Amino acid sequence: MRISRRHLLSGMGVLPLLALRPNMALAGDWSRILVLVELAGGNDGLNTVVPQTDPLYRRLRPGIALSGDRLVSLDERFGLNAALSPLMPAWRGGDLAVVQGVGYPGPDRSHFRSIDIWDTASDSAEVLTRGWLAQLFDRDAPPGDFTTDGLVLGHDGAGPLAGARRFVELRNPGRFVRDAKRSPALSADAGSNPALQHIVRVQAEIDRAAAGLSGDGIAATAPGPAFPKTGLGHQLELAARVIAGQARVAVIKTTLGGFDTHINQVAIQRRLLDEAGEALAAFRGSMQAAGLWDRVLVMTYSEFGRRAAENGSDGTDHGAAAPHFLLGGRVRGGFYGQAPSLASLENGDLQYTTDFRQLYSTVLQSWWGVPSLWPGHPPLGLIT
Amino acid sequence: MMSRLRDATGLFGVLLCSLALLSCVTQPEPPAPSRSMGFSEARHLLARTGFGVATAADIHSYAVLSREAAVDRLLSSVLRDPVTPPPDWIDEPPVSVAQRRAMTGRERQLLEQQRRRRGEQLKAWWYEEMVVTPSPFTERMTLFWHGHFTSSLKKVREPVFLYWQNLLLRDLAFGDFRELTRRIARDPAMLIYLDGYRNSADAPNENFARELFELFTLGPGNYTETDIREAARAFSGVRYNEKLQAVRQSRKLHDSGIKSVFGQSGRYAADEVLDLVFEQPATARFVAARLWREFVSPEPDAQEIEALAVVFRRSGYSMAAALRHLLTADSFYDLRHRGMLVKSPVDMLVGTIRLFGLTPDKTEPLVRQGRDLGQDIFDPPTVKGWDGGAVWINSTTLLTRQDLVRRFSGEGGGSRMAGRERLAELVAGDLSKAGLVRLLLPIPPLTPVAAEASRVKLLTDSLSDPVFQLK
Repeated sequence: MRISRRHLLSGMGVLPLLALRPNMALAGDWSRILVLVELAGGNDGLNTVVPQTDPLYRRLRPGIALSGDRLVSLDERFGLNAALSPLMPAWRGGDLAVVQGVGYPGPDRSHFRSIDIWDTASDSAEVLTRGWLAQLFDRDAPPGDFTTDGLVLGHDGAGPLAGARRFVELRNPGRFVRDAKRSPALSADAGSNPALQHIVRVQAEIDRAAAGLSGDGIAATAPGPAFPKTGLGHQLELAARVIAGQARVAVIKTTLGGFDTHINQVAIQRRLLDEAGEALAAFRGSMQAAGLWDRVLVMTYSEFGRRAAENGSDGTDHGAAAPHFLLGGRVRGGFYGQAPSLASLENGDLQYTTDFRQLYSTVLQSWWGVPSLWPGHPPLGLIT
Repeated sequence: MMSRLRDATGLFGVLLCSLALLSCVTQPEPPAPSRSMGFSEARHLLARTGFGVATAADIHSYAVLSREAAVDRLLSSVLRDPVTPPPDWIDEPPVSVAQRRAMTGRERQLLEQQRRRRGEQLKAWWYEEMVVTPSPFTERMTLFWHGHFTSSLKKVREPVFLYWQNLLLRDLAFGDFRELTRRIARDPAMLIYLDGYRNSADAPNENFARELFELFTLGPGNYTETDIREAARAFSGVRYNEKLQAVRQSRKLHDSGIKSVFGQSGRYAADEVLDLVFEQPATARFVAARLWREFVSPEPDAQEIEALAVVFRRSGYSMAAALRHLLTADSFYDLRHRGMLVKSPVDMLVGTIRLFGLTPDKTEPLVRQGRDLGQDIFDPPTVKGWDGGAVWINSTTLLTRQDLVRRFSGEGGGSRMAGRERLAELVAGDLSKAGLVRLLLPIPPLTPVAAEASRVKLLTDSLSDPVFQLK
């Protein structure tokens, strides 16, 4: 009895794997690329997409409310921080979506805890260690002949790719390829030491990716007009060169940091959004020039928005929900979700109206065409 | 000259010296090194409390000691002041936020250029101290505190403030954690870094109170949002006074009302809230867990950490007492924990230079290399400091680490640093081949080198083995 049961169980364990794996590998449209832009530090959403006609907005923020030429109108109710005006052609062109009130229940106001929640798609009280893209790639991996599944540009770590088997961090592709040639080949088993296992995995992925990133893997220059010479500008320029080259990747992660605006917010956020707007506009122009814009989906995210009321240092403290942007040739532009009400704050914070996992479901289901890992959070229907 | 001397005295001389030193240090009691720790444990202790590696001479001088005597010697040789003279501008009065605000655009631009230059000089100064110091443990603990009570030049801007903070961290690195925390709460760099200087009765700013609880003392889950808001009121009004060049809690700007923190109420100011923090058992546990992760293993051991926390709290939060307990415990030397920690970028740079006995004529390149490897000292990425551990290693930094070690070891003739005698000794010296590998690596290499390989090949293969990234 016992033996046959064990036989049965082991058989059940193996068969579905054999049956499903080939199908899984074929699932999904992996010619489509996701470009993530992390706004690290907690971007203040209320001064990014501004409820310009709501009198409560000015009452909550007498010192830092934006008005006049610091805003460009998106519609009669909402104005965009003028630093982001380079995005207006995308808005008017219908390929920029603004998702309002993105957050999650039981918001955590710690930078580190909250970005972990975003990165791992966990609930507020649940601690997961693997990034949401790592979780996806466990189930539906991009094709095996890809250069690598993910490229991490910038300095803020793997985030959603943490724990994934195949991704590389890249700053200078020429140097990467050159150094990889001199790097020792490894064949040994790392045993049970987690640090050693990690190094061996990184080494293996270097060897694998270096081949695909050499030669014409990365285009010598980005298509279209020049990119701004800023941190995010350089990252998105490299992203454009990768997408325009022969290398094949599913995800490119970029980061712009410094959004923790406890003091002097207006000037600091203007500088940062300026950098974001110009770099994103250049990236859009580049992809359009190369005829690749339909293959790209750009999505911003940040660990939290900020407190609805200003704090008395001309800044804002850690808060909760905030709007986020999606751009791409297949994005159906416009507003999605409800802007949080300024009249019903929760502990002084905007209440979320769109769960952040709806963004992830949109990426999985509508963009890549694979089932969502978060079926309770339906996609937003913003991909055509 | 130095190397010939070392050859002449040799291992025997080193042994004699260290025995003589031991009898000096522990004079009140006759030395009873019941059991000498031996090469492997001595290497482990020095690598983990230094820069990830240790020289043969140092290892041999500790190997004859018992664990207790070795840790006593380490702790009694720590320094409270740097041996490297600071940059010459360090005595100029700092430019405060208010003074900067009063400047014209052009003045401000010139000031920022000067600050950037001086910031790099300050970083180079610390690297020099780390390269030359007779007490690597002092630097390791100062760096530990820098990652704990973080502040960054990017936010603080005024390099002098970061220099003062560095002096504070090293002065109390092994001292009373409560005193260190109290001084940090009124440290000019910290006041700017976490916006304490903007916190006042009519305009509370929570930034410092939140990070104090979450990252400096209690750890997540041991306080409420209300505790943060109330504590922020207690810290209101702390200001840097330019005339006095000192920090005071201004009566005018301080919220003198009743605050309620951790269920207790009173007209608390900064120090009273800190007293409440030190009454919470969570504080000792949180620091103990950090020490465990820093010096033993990334995998927590609840029982060992609790024992360490008890020692720490009973000692009146003495860092020296906590470290003595940690570094003499069986768990520290447990073979399971060897090679479990990833060398930090500073370990890779400073440790390798010290191991090879190189004498860089300037340390500015180390600043840039550290930045490339993900550790820009005086500019930690976030208020959490550096995540460390496996995060140090990604595909870009691993390649850069390998490239740097190749250059330091002179492969391809790349390094222009002086002082290659010790490297030559490693190749030609009197260590056996197996001894050479045991010196360089914390655990056996992943790819064993063939027994008939030359000593040069043995050296280069050990340095390029993934295990060289570990400590």
